[in-house]
Order: sequence, then C-alpha cells, then structure tokens
Amino acid sequence: MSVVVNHLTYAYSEGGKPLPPTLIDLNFTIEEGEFLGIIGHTGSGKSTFVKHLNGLIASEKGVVTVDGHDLSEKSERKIVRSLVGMVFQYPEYQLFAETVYDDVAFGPKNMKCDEAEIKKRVVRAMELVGLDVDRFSSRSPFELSGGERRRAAIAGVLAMEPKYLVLDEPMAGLDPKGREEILALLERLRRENGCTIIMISHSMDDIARHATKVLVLEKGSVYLFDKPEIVFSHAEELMSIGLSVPNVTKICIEMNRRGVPIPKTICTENAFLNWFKEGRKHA
Amino acid sequence: MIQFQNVTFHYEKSSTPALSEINLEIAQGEFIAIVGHNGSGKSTLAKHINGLLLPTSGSVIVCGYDTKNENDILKIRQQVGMAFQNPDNQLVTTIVEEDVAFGPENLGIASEEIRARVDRALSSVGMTQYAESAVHNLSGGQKQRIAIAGILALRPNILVLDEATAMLDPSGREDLLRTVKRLHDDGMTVIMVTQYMEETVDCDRIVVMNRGRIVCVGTPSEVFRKQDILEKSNLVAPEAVKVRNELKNMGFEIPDDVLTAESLAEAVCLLL
Repeated sequence: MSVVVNHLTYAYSEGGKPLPPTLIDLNFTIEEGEFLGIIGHTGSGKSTFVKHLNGLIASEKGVVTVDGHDLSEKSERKIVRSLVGMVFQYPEYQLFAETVYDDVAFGPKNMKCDEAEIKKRVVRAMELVGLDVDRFSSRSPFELSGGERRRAAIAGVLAMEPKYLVLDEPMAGLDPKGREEILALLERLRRENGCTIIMISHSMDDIARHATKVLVLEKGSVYLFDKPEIVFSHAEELMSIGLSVPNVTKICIEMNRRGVPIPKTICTENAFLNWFKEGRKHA
Repeated sequence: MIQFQNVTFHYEKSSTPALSEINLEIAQGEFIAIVGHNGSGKSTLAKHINGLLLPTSGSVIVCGYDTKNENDILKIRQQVGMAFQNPDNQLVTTIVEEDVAFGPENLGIASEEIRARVDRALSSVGMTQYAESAVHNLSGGQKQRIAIAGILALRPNILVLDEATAMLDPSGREDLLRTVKRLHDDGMTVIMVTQYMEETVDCDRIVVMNRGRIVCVGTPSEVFRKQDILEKSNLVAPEAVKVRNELKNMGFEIPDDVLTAESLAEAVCLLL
C-alpha cells in the first residue's frame, strides 16, 4: 500500500478569489516503509502539501489516495485520519491536558478504544519516545523541559498508532542531542513498526543520513524526487534555487574544485569515510 | 566591556538555579557564541546583559554600569541591543522604514537625524531597497534583518542575539549570519546564543553552558577538540569537525583549526 499523488494542484483563495496556485500538478508515489524527506524554500508548498495527506486541505484538482482511500471523498477522510498521524511545527504548543498520561491518551480515547487498550497504547507510545511511564505519567506537560515536551506531543500522535507519520520540522528549536533523539525515534518506528515517515526538514545533513527518498519542491512543483544521493548530486541546481546541501556534499564540491574527482553522490559522513578507505587509491 | 562576576540566578518557583557562579569577561569588539542544551541557561545569561534579568547574587557590569543600579539601566540599554527568536514578535509597524525609525523616534531625536540613522541601518543589513515595503511581505530572514536594523538605529555598541536564527530557513540563517559578521567586522561587540554549531566556527570564543554553569570557554578550534565536554553538554560538533575527527581516528594528520567544509576539503586534498 502507498500514498499516491496524482495531478494534485491547489490554490488558496482570498475574498472568494483564487490566488496563484501553491501546488502545481504534483505526481508521485510514496511507498510503504519509506522515509521521505521533503525540502524546499519557505513558501515552496511543503506544508500545504502535507496538509493534504490527512485531508486538512482538500483539492478539487487532482487526487491523493492513502492505501487506496481517496481523500477527496469526505466519507474516506475519517479512515485516512486513522492511518495518518500529523506532527506539526512546535507540537508542544498543542499540549493541553493536566497530565502527560491524559494528553497522550486523548487520541486513543477519541478513537473509542477501551480503557485497557488506551493504557496499553499510552505506555507503548511513552516508551517509544523515551519518557519513563512511572516518572512522567502524572506530571504536568508544562513542567517538562523543551525536549521532553516535544516528545510528549509526539507520543500523543503515536498513541493513535498511525501507519504513516507526517512531521513538519520536528527538530526545530531542539538542541543537537534532542534532534538526534527524535531522529533515532523515527528510525526505530520505521524499522520496528514498519511506519512510513514523511518529514519536512531544513537540515540537509539529517535528510542525507536518514531519508530513503527526497522530494524537492520549488514554487509548488516537483523539482526533484529521488534517492538522497541522487538529489544531492544536483548540488549546484539546489543552491541555485536557494537551497542548502549537506555539509559532506560541500566538502566534496570543494575537493572537486581542487581537482580531486570524488563522486558527487557522496553526501553522508559514512559514504565519505568509505570512499576515503577504498576509493582514494584511484584518485 | 561586559563582566559577569560570580552571577547566580534563580527563577521564581524554581528549586534549582538557572545560572550558577558565572564568571565571564567579554572585551570590546569580541564575537562570542553561547551554546548549550535546552534549558542550560544560555538565554538566561544573555538576558542579563541588558538587565532584562537581574542576578540573584553577584553582579553584571556593562560598560562600567552595574545592571542592578536602576538609575543606570537606560544607559546600559542604549549600549546593548537585543534580537530574539521570533521575527514576528519584534516588529511593531507595517512599513519597513517606520519600524526602523520607531526606536529613535521614541528617544525624541530630530527628524533629519532619524532619516540618516534609518538609511544607515537599512544599508548595514542590506535592506535599503525594501525601505517602503510592507513588513508582512518579507521573509523570516528579512524580518530579522529589519529587527536588527531597528536596533542599529539606536546606535548600540553591543548586539545580543538570542537564538535569532532558530526560526529561519537555511538561506535566511545565512543572510542573517552574514549581516552579523559584517557588523562585527565594523567594530560591533556581538554575543550570539545559538543551537547551531555550524554558526559558531567563525566567532572569537565559544562559551559552552551546561545546567546553568559555564563548562568551557575557548576559541572554536579549542572547544571542538573537547569531544567529552561537548558530549556531556548534549552538543554535537559541526559536521566537518565530525568527519575530521573520524579521519584523525583513522590515523590521518589534520590540524585542529579545520572546522569548515572548505578548510577540511583543503586539508584532505593534501593527504591524497
């Protein structure tokens, strides 16, 4: 099963009149189990696109289906919302309950799970995000540190056990360790639970390291859609549209400029070190 | 120019101090980066520089004035400009040049002088062509540059940036950093609180905070050599430094002042 985006075009409107389209004729398929990184300049349509994935926005032009359910059908949206979990920017601003437990339990309660099932899900979600159940359950979300609050908010989404997890800049504002923790969590969800991850991020280093596919949006259109090593081998083009590239890619560009023919597809630390061990003999 | 003398600070209701025994001296014209984990006290420290927060014990002396002395606080704030995280919270009017003029107008400065200051400030941040634009049409990075222009129009000697790049996209961040570096080259003392290690490689000194204490102060090459302190402080070295360290572990000789992609590429090419 997968997410299929077919000729999707979308325009916001102002005072009843449509504005120039934010998304223009998007066509691609996000396969199950993928870690899709979405990159693009501010205003390129990234957030508008992901809002289509659970029907927060519905377009009249084009079709988005999740596991075959068409999001333009109102009756299908409810099913899709049980499949797709959304983590917005600064999700901790949406914490509201008196205790961490109640906050994480809110989703499964709304899904009409019974008490035993709710408890099971809350415990599992808190364990996944690394919040100790005994220590944190009865604490107020507002007493937690920034990183803990972020993880509590994500646990609330995970408790609904989504098959597809969509995250809009989940690492923004966190310290380096906090960022690594979120990324490790996403990797674990994908490997152990088979969860498909769809993540918007400005951190090219993180995208290069973790994504299995990268979608580059530029002015509402698909600019590139490919494996990270292929996408970042187009470094000059990406920079010409105002995007950044992974730091390892920058090192490789500088080496090429100095006459060392290191492949343009090298964009992670590991790939770089491997080349250094194996390939440099030929350089 | 700025002295922290044994500063300890408690937020009300909090049992643990947000700052403990801070001693730090910052010289005129220095570019200082303050880094640390979420909740390490780095923003709390920054807010002491213009007296937004006052020490529970100890003193902060800015340009010879003690921030605890109420009569001097205005003089301190004329010296110290502060920029914060969210660009939308720092702009007060709808048109760019009006926003930049807001500060000097409040000081009752003559209008020709205001005009000159606004023009100068906008040119310092590279936003002259946007003088008459509507603020809401600007990108996040541009808004932050306008917020900084508004500060520059007050002619401070010290600029404090409290995670001013945190909400910007990469090109907005680069824009702002370039602007800040230029201001520093022109003589401004800059104190920059940041979460992004890549932003610190060009500064004079890095201050590493952990649980309210300063655990390390040094030049970028000195600080990024101290893997154990970084790790204990929940920090990660810039990508180029990580690659450099791996290569060193493999037995290659790379100097400690290699901190950027460019300098690493240069060093690596010499190895081949």
